Amino acid sequence: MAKSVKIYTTSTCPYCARLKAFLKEKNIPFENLDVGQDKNALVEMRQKTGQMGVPVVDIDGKIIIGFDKEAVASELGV
Amino acid sequence: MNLYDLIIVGAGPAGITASVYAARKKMDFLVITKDIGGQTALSWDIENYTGYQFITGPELTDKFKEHLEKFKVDLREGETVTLLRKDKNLVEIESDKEKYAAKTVIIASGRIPRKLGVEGEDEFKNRGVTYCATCDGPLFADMDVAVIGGGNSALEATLQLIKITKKIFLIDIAPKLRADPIMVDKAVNSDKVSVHSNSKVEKIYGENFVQGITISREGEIKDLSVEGVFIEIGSFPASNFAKGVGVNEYREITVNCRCQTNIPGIFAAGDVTDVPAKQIIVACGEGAKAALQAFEYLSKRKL
Repeated sequence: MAKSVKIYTTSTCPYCARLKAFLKEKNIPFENLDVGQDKNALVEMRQKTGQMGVPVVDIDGKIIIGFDKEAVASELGV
Repeated sequence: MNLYDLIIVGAGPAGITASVYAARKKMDFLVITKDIGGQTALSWDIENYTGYQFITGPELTDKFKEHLEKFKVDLREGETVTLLRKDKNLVEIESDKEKYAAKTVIIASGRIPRKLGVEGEDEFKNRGVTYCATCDGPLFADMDVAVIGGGNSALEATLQLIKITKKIFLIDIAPKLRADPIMVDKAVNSDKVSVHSNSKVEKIYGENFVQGITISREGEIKDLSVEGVFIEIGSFPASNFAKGVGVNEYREITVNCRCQTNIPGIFAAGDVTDVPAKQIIVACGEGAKAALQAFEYLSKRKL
């Protein structure tokens, strides 16, 4: 079964844009949470990671902070 | 270890333009870079890049990247150069991942944000402390924040944050803000901004996240409760890894009008150099010059 991918981003961060482009390029469906707009998502991200840097990727509970292309690719097997 | 005709360090405006020129000259080259776009990716509104009356930093970065990807370029992204030195005829480069050798090098590593050097700064990085208002501003919607600095970058951050945050304390160590008057006027006329001049940040405090800063003014100590701290006190050139390469008093790499450094075969371009205007369009031009000079250098010598 495909892994569930959730990403925490803001509309202005360049690495968030690159992360989204990367996931789209690999045809990976993902849920995008804009933590600049969605307070609950921001709180959730802070609790999960103990920090405020974006992007954060949550792949079936495995958390990757920042746009770490290799880590995301290996977690998704792409 | 592979030997290249040219290695370009950095992929901001200077490094990317140099890459485009090197690719068009069909040079055998490699680009090593921490990120794409450099400071441009973190800029907000750009209104002085010819051909675009208005474009944002991230958008211009995408355009640069698109242009670069038109060519098959060997791009090592997410890699930081730690050492660069000339040994006999070749330049040796070490990164955090690999070792390389090249006949010519273009250093286009740009500038990195200056740190404040106070207690709590490292501890709370990404826990409220940030160096990029463009990237992280939206995280502080409706919160109280502090911006540290009094130059153009601090005022640019302040003006961006006016639209997002609740209150902004602008903490400046100097008696008077030094940014362009048009920006200063906008900031001081906003009800959201409270300017603290002659004020020094003593520490950043909190528990898991930032809860406030302590500032001092002429011996008077005060705590300001904030959730975000934007440090905007300028930047310094990323030139430390280049051994033996001549720099000026600000550690900017000294170049002549041909982008040559004091070491034959090592060229430099963009904001890492002592070229006066730190502008995207200037960095692009310098990158183009450096690539053409590296090409000419190789064609005149048998290496």
